[in-house]
Amino acid sequence: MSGIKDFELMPDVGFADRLEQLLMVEMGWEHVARPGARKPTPIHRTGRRVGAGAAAALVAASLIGLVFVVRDDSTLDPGNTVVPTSVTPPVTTNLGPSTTIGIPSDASRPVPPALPIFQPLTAGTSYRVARSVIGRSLQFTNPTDGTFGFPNPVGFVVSADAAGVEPLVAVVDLAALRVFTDPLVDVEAISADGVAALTAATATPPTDFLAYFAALPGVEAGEVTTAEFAGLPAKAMTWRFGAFDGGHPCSGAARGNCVATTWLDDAYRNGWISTYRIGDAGTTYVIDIDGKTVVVEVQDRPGAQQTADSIVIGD
Amino acid sequence: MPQRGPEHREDVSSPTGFSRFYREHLPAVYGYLVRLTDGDSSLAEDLTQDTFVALTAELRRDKPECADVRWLLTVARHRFLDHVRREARAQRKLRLVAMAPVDEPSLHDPGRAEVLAGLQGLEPLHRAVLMMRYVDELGVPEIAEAIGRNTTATNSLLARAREQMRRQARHAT
Repeated sequence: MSGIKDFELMPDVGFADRLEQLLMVEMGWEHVARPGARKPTPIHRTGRRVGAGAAAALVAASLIGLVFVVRDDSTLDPGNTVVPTSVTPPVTTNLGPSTTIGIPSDASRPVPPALPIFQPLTAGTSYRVARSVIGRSLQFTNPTDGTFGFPNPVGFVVSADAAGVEPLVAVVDLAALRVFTDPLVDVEAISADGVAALTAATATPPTDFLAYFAALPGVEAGEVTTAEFAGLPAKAMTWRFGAFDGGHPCSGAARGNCVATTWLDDAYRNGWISTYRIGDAGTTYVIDIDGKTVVVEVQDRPGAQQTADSIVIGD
Repeated sequence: MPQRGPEHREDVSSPTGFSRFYREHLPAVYGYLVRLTDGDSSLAEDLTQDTFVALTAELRRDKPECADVRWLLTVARHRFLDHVRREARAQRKLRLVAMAPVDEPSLHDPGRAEVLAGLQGLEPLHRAVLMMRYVDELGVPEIAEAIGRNTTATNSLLARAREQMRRQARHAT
């Protein structure tokens, strides 16, 4: 192969170091310190299996319609491998984004694994989220076994179920959202018509997201209050969906028609459509993080507040 | 980067040798994946990790011949194609795929530099086939095998990819 230098690019130094460390462990060697390198830190050996071959799945959820792709590690040859490591179980750490985790800042502490897609989360385990979501490091501690995470570059959701029907906490960059111009639109039909139809049915997000949300059909909203989320000043609003007229069923609908709010369209078309039904309730926080407006939704479900309370935002 | 023949074998049997090999070829693997992923550094890092972990697995199976940058790039490409396939499955299920109309086919192939400069913003599979054809210099049958299509479909895909790249370049100017 000619001209490899055409596309050579050095990744983030932290990522390169952590990956080297991981590889040394996989090889059964002690880490070999390079001149000037920091002392290696222990690998946090939890996370997805290497070569687990998890089945690909797609979720079109009802409350929040999530569409993500499993990180299926089974591959074509070469490289369809299960790492026969001397350390059991044969798992490795997904180093994920290269960005330095701001919390904890002490480099000697293990870095939490990246929030996996379509895999059950473990109680008591901390997960980190791509820095691109809010522009800073973010991690949370999962309170219960069997919840699921749905990350993408501009947002993430933790749901009580694998289908995303029972979301607990969602964090998203407001700028990445588009809002349905008609919240009672038939989202199933629109999404079936493709990206162009979704784009046509939605608009750029409002500056005042809470006011927009409070005006949705059926919403009984509380006062907008000054609050704090993860140590940052925020505006907060509680809400509950009461009765509304019209609308259409949406996927997984078991409690009547849906109100469609937002479509998150990430770069890979793996975004989600958020829909709500009568009885849904929660609190939405709007936080300004370095000029980026971040929307956090905490639903009234067991474990949701605990998950939200565990969120730590770093530098 | 000096080219090595198949007879050359990197010494990766020791931690020092492995570290040297890793440090030497990491930029190629990562840079290759950054191109394929259209600058998604997080995804590129994930796939880079998968690629090198696959290497460790092969080395532990006593296959030192895998310690070759060409092997690494092949694995990296497969990892990316796996990702694209998963994405495509999701898109099909959602019926969100909007096939772009194909303009009249171009009469000439793009050069390597044109491809490397024009990948940004292309659809993932288009990036992959253009990289394979004009950067990795694979033949159409090899690409067809890699992406699981026949040669006719692969040629059509390559034509669409070229057209998308050129249409995008025209819009940019």
